[in-house]
Amino acid sequence: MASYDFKSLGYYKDLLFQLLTFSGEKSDLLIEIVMPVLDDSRFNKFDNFIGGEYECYDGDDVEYVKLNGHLYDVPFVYTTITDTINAICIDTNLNRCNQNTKDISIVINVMCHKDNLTLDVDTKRKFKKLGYTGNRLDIIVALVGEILNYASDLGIGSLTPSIHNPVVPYYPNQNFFGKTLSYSCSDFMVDYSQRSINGD
Amino acid sequence: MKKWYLISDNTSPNMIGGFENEGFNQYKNDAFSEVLTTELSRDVVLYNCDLTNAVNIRCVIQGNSPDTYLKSMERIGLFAPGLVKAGMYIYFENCYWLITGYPSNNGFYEKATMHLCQHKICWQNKKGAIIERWCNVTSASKYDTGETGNSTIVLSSDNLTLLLPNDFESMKLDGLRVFIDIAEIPKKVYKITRSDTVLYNYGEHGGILSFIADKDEFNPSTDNQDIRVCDYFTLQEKDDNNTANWKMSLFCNCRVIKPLNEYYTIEAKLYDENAIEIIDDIEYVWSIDSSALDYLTYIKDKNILQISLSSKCEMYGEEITVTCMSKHTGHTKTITFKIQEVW
Repeated sequence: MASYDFKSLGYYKDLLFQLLTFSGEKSDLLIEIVMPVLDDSRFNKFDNFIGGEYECYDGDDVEYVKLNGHLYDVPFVYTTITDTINAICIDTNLNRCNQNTKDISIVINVMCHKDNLTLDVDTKRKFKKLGYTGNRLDIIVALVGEILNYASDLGIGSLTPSIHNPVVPYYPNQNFFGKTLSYSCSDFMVDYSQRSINGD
Repeated sequence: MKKWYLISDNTSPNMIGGFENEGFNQYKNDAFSEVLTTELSRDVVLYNCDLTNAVNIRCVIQGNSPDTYLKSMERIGLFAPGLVKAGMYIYFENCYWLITGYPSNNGFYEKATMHLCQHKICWQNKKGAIIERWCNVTSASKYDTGETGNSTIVLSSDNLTLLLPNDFESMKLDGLRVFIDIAEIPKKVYKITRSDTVLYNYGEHGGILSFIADKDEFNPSTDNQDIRVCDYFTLQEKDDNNTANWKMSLFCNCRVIKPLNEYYTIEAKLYDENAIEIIDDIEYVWSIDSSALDYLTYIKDKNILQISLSSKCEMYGEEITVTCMSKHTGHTKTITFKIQEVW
């Protein structure tokens, strides 16, 4: 009986999150340009970038803190936005599959609040020195692209941008502008590394 | 006036004196002045629009027992004629009240409507000064749910009407972002999206401005919560030492100019000490010197100069010197072209 495995949809998101957040210098730059100011200075940049629920202790007082983060595993932002945020939304889908392989499409929506698109002189200068030019959105797209160039653990071969329209404009809201990056990746239908010798 | 043993020259006329109209005209101002000395009136402080001038006055405040909560934020003031203008503030009951109505005069006193100022908004003008104004705030979207958006992004939503004095600084508020939030650390930011400058303009009787403030998003990079000013910036004084290591370069493909009636383009670029091009706020001054000036035409456009040499020119071997200077920093660069035959 054929066995179909769709676990990789979530697994790929986790991997991409890790890649974008913990890829050394490139990730540091990405976090800096996506999140120029920490949402909550009591937490480090990774907590602020990823988001989540935390308990913050101040002496004997404990406070429940929910960080919205800037990295989302759905193609939308969960909460009502009151700040000029920038966000990266990742979604994974299957384009095609058979008993042996599957083609996974990865859609990365990068969005910036319009007030954030223009960079201040110091930031512009700093990133220009490092070879990144353009507005904030251009730089985020460039950094995401560079980080994903090293996504060698994903699937068979490598993560490749879609042949048609790999980067297209994206208008999530009247106050936001973004880009949609489309990638595709082929993988085995079953994670063979988890199977025993007798095929179970 | 008929002498009477109880009436002296200083006695105000009464209704049976027979000289009511004359007496009215003579004593009408005194009558209201007398009211101001009674318990009917109260001490208040009259301020100009930016609270820099204050004067203690007495006036009658009406409407102190309102029937609705909206009415409770309105009062009517009776003042000595010619004393107040719309756009001034009256301070009483520990609150600022903005004179919003056209002050009208009935001969006895001047009457003006006032609205409670619930909030003081702050903004920064282009010279960097922080401007503060007390304003009256009312909802312009009473039944708004507070959220707007689509399946991707949901933003907070709200509209407020602001009434401010009609003054030089408030006139420039249109398009700016302000905190309208009484929280200790303000977070709610509004953008002034509509400015009505003529609706409540009363000419020499003053006036007020009506604005619509639309809910906007807080920007932690530029909005300063400590001083409650959005889009806060600091102006740095020009320091010549900072530009000492800057360098100007002129870019042109060749150093010869042929009499072809064709434009040659020269581009000036100014670089800082880190060899980063300075783009903003640089003003370039171009100058050209040559004995063939009569044959030259040129177009100056910021950091681009285009020069063309007429085909009639035969001054081969002569030089054309082009100099560009950055007006504010004083950096100069000169290049020289030679006039060369076409063939």
